[in-house]
Amino acid sequence: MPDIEIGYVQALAPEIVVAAFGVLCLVAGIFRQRGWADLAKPLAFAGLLAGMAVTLWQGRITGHVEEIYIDSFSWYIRLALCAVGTIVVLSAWTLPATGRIPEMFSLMLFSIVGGMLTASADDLVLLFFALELVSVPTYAMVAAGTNTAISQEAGLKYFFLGALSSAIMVYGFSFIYGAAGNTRMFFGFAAEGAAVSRGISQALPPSLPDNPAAWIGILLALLGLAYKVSAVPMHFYIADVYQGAAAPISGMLSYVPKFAGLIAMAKVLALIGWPLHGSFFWLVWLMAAVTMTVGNALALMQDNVKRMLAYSSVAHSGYMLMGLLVGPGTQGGALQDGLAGLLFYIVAYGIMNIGAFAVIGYLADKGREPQLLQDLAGLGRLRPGAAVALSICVFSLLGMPPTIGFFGKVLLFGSTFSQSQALVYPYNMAAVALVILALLNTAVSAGYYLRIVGTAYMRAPEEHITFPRPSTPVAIGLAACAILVLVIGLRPSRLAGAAGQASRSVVAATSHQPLAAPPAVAAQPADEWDAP
Amino acid sequence: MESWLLTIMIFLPLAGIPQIVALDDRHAGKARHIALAVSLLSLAVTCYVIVLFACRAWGTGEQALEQRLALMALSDNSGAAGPAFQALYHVSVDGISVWLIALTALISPLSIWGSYSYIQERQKGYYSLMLLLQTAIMGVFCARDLLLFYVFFDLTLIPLFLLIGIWGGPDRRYAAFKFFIYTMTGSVLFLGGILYLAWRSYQVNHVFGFDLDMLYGLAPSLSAEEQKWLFLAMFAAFAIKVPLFPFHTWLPLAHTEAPTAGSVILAGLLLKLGTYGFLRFAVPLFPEATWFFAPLLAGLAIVGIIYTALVAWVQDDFKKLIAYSSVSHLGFCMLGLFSLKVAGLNGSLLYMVNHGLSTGALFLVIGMIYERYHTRSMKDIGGLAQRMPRLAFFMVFFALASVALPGLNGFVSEFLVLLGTFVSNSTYDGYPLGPLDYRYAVVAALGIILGAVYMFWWLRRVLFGPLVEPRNNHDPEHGHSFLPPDINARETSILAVIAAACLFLGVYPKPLLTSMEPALRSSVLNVVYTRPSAVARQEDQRHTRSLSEGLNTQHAGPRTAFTPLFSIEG
Repeated sequence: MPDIEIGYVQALAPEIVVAAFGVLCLVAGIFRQRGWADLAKPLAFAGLLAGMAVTLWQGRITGHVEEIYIDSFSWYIRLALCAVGTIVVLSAWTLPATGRIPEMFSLMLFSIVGGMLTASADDLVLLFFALELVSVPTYAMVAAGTNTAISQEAGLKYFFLGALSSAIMVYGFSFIYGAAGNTRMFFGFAAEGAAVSRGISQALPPSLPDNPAAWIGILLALLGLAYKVSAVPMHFYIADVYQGAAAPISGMLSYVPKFAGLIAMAKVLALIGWPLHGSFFWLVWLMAAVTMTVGNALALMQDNVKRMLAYSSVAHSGYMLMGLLVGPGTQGGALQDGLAGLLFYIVAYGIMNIGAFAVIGYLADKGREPQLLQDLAGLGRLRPGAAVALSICVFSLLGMPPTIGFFGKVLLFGSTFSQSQALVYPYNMAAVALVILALLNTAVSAGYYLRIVGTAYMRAPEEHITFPRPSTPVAIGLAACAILVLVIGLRPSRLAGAAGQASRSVVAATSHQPLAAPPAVAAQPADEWDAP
Repeated sequence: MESWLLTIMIFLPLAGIPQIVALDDRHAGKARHIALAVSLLSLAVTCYVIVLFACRAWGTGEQALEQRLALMALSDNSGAAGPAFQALYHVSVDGISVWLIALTALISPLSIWGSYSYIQERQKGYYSLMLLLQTAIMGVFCARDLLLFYVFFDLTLIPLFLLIGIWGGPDRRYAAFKFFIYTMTGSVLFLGGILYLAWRSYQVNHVFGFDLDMLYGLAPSLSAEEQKWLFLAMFAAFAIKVPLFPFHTWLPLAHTEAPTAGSVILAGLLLKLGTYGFLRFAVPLFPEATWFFAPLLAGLAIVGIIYTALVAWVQDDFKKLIAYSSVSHLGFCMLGLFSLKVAGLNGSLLYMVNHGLSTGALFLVIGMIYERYHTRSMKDIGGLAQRMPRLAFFMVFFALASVALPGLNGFVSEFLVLLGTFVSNSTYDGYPLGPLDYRYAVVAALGIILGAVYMFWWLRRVLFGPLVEPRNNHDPEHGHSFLPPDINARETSILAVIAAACLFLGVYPKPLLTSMEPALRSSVLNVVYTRPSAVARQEDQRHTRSLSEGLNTQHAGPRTAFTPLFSIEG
């Protein structure tokens, strides 16, 4: 796609639209005495649909303006965030946060705007800003999701640790800036009088260990981002936060911040380029291996269903880090593209995880959600529809065919297999070992996923628990999750193709040659500018 | 239209599920009638499929009723024509799979009919899951694309997990979990092998493909080391499924805790997925590795035969006894498979069908006893022949079929398996020397004796001798309806159908053997014996006719000293 000249508004049109709807939700909240508070929910839904519409209407354009770069990658991310965001909104329709509903939905929209901005960010500062825009609303959403003290505790923990990790990340960014002399990542900008402008990805020297400042910078950036992705060693917050937050909010947490974190990690790793060598290969390898193992091991020990899903979230981050390890291949074919596998998998994971959390969320009985696993007992008998939706989502998380989770694993593991052969020893053996570890972890994860399905169907319902009938939007959201899991699992070509194009776009951006200085504006004499 | 026939056959049972789910809870009893009707309809379609197969591809090793649709296709950006990743919906039937499909179509309605009085609660879910299971098993046997096979293979786990876990015995949760996790571990390793194979296919054919016809041609490009690792990956899944010693520990638990129909389908059909997987995938795709591992697998099979027969001998719970006998018999099946001789392979495939019939029937019989006495312990019941003569007749009949009495179906397959193993190290059937020694057959023959020992032991204790009944029998626990002391018309019909099939196959197995043999020759034996290392070895082997001579002669009789009791080709 040739670069086109675009202005800020055109570049950020989807984000502007969604943010505008977010503001409208806040406005609805202001007039809650008039009864407008409930308008916030359909407004949020409409806002996300509008964001999707604007993105589709714009099409796959490629262009950049200053620190924003629009390409197939940002197209895919915008659509993915808005589309799955609508399911989040549907599942959160019956949030028990009385008195704060409009604010919760506007915060949801702002967080999604931050996620969309992460994809288009070409500048470290803008990336940091976008990541904060993703996270800060979620701190408030966790704390305010239910009316219990446990939510506030979770929110506080999430906030403090999140602020710490953001500090680590931006400290890393500062080192990168120091090493590269520039905050633009892929497309440089001409400073006054400079001959040629280079982005960080060109400015960083090819052998990273020779440049300790950049090395530390990338390490710290990855570590800070590991918090958002809930990778080991920054995963300790996740069980308490998911348990404390309202279930639909936990579902959202497992999607939007994780997605933003993975995009940012992909961009940071794109700065040094794939294939990864030396210490960064081993760092990401170790992170992936330990994350998936620790996540599965801890999930096996849980009795609280939300904590179990939280640790399963950690394990899935481990699988997704495998995609980051191998990155987009040189040929970028179908099953040879780890980044495409990652992009497919995060969307798949979002759908199935939000479905699972939605079932837990709507089962809230008098404001109290099912906490322990046995609170789900008898679901199969009393609410067969919800039980079927839960089973489909859980089997998809496990990776049983013919669900979207299965195909996502096929893409991820297959890409790692095939790309490992292009690496040199010992990296190829390590990648193959990681795939085998991931397969074994998938089998181990059956131990706890089956407990969820088993409890829902095989145990008799407890006397005091009643399962309410889902309200229509929640029922639509659940049905959408279950249907998407099965339909895209059987016909994944379009989503996988879009993910592949997005990944190739990242490759194109990283291999971009240093920019010529921008064309002269109005009254500059032509001979003051050097040609590249 | 004809190409859609297989798809209709596979997915027809699913058509019954919406009608069952839509039933009002007060009329939940109608679910079983709907399920039976749909299953019988599926049986009718299967008979039509077999007739068409007979018209098209009988006596040849070809596939019939093939259908190829693109399931998933991704292209890469290299601009090459055609997709870079392709998973096809490719189904067909050939001599190897047609009789397993027939077995599935026969056993499923019989097991649904057999559950009529057994299942009294949550019937809608039960019969829906039975129909889903039938679809999944049919799909496994028809699939010609590795990813499609994997999809159906894993799909069989979910209904059975729920069937065991909800409607099973006291320890059902543990049994269901152990079954699922054990089998799934093998499956994911299998998936790793599939992905690696697909990537190698990309290197050779420039498409990540899973189509069997393409992958069969890949064998020469794979190195011996690769083949061994990939064979082990497939071994992980199939050895657990068969089950091969020492991966059999999930089976006795799953069988004893499953409801009757669950056990029937588990023993009759699902165990065949493992042996079929070896026959269809592991052996032809990796001939070098097959040759390398054949003695090892035959050794495991033999140990399994003897060990599980001894364990069956000391059982008190006779459902567990039959479960262990199942493992023992499938050891024979695997032995015949890895003898890599015509007789052995014929016997192995025939064994799959026969074992499905006889062991399925035995589990039905045990279920009928359990519905009346609510115990499976040999200490608690005895001398039942006085009370239930008709049941006793069928029980002895099927036990004899299982023990391989000449005249019944078990004999044909067992004899062929042992013959194949015995002559494995010769050129009896025109193929070069096989991997096994005659000693394997000698040890395996001991297994027959042990099989007879524990079967007759069980029959004597349960059927003959003084009548012993538990004190509070005929007490409708677990919601089971009160049944007459001897088996009623419905139960008799079910057993009679299977008994007739056993008798027919014991006296006249020729239709099955003539349809199986060409497919086995072309799909399996020719592939194994034309592998590069075999061809290289042919030149310096004495007492061997040339390979091409041996392979081309369809009617090559044995040229050795003894004449066979019956010839396979004639």
